Amino acid sequence: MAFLRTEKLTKKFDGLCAVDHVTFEVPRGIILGLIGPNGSGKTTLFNLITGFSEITEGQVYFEDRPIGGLPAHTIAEMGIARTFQLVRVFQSMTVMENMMLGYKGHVGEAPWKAIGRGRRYAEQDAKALAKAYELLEVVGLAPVANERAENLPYAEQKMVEIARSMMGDPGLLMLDEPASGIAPTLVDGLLGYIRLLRERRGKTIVVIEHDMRVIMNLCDRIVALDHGTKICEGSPAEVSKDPSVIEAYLGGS
Amino acid sequence: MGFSFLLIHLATLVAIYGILAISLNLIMGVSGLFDMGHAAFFGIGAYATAILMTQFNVPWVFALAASFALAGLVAWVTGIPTLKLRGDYFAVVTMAVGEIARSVFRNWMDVTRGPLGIPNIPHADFLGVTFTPGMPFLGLAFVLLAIMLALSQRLIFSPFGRILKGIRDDEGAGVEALGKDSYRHKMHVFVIGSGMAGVAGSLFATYIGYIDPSTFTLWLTNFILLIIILGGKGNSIGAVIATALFVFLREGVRFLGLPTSIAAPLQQWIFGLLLILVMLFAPRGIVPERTDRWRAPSGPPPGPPV
Repeated sequence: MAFLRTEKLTKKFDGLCAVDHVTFEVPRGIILGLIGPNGSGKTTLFNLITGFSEITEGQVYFEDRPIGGLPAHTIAEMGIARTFQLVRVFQSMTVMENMMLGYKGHVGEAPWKAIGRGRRYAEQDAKALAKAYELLEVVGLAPVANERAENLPYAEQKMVEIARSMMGDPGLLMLDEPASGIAPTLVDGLLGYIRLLRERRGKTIVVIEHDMRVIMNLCDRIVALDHGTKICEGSPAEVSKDPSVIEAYLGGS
Repeated sequence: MGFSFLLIHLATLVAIYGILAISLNLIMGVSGLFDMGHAAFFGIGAYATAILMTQFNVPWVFALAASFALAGLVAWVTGIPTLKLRGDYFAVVTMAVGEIARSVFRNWMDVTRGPLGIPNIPHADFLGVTFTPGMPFLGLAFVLLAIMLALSQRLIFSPFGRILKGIRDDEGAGVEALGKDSYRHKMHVFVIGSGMAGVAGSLFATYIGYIDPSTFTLWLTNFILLIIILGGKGNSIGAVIATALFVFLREGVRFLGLPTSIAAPLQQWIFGLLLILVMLFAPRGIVPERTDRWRAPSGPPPGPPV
């Protein structure tokens, strides 16, 4: 049984077909890489799966339930977390406030409970805080927990974004170019963290990445897109030898 | 009489406008919703109280509750189509709502008496105490200000408040990705903030004893907006401090003995200058937004790492 599955997923912008009948599966517990040249539809595919963009045709199944057409927050609530290509950490808030915001189902999200503050409010606050510190410890950001996110270097903001997405205990993590904009020396730490999430926490991860070295290192399986269609799928070794992939990347007639 | 009477009057205005500033701060400062029609909700609260008390002899406490509810209800109806729109459209629509409300106040003669306004609004009374202008009303106004301030602080420093700040920081997409319904939370804060403005309006009506449409204009919204920027966006204590500064400055200019033709523009000059100075030297406002601070929980971490 596939954890996540798309079926003939299609997105048309006016005449342009950004994603064209893409069907693929993500088995539970793997790291799947999504590759393709610029404009091949990777981010659009992410947006369709996570509900940030409306599906023109086709369907997405998460744990065999159709989720196409549901609002983004509902899909996130069901257990699909995502990060963005350009970091989306809340700049005016501290690292810890960002983390606490990632906690799911706190009673204090309702204004009357935020005013009332019963016993459950305090319990959930403590739980969220403990969890946030635990996650920050792993990425080494606990010392800057009370620092505003805007004062952090870009690479650390990206780490916060990934750690924050873990606050909701998602089953599936979708990372849109986690290594972009990060100094090469820091990339290894990031990859280590992503691997850790899979190995120790059993997360299933889909990652978009440009850097072939990163992809080859990290992924169990790869799906390659070009011009919105799936051109190839397989293990890193298979995909890197595939003529259509080589052509898509290097060009050709 | 004399000077102390004036001080009490100004302090009362600080309390009333302070509540208005706190309420707009929740909507605009904390959540980033560009509400250009806030004066309308202040007006709705004032008119609701005025009409209920003068024509139906409704006790003040119920009129106050009705002002809160009616302002909140109008906000809810306004929010249904507009809170799904992007920020700038929301600003345009709320500005229109402000103008519509003003023209209703001015033209619905049977109910609001139009430009004649509503005179002889009774004093607030509660549990046998009548809050006449002066110390009694000042006490009442400050109790309400304190309650509103406490409510606002609780809302800001809670999971609810963090969602609002998240919405402000990147137009909703970020919080959606974390499983939060941005529309629902925007609606909540818009209704609560507008209801609070209704409470301020209700106080205003019973304090002055007379209301007419000329008070509830875009100028008032701008005035409160300026207060929030000066005070520090997102900080409700800053909003109250800036309100006090404004009210006292505005009235202070009057006592320089200048002719009106000079005093009025001078007020504008001072406010303009203040705004520029704050932008230059304290871009986050007089009292910048405070972040929540935590200490690491003590004891061994629960469960295995990662």
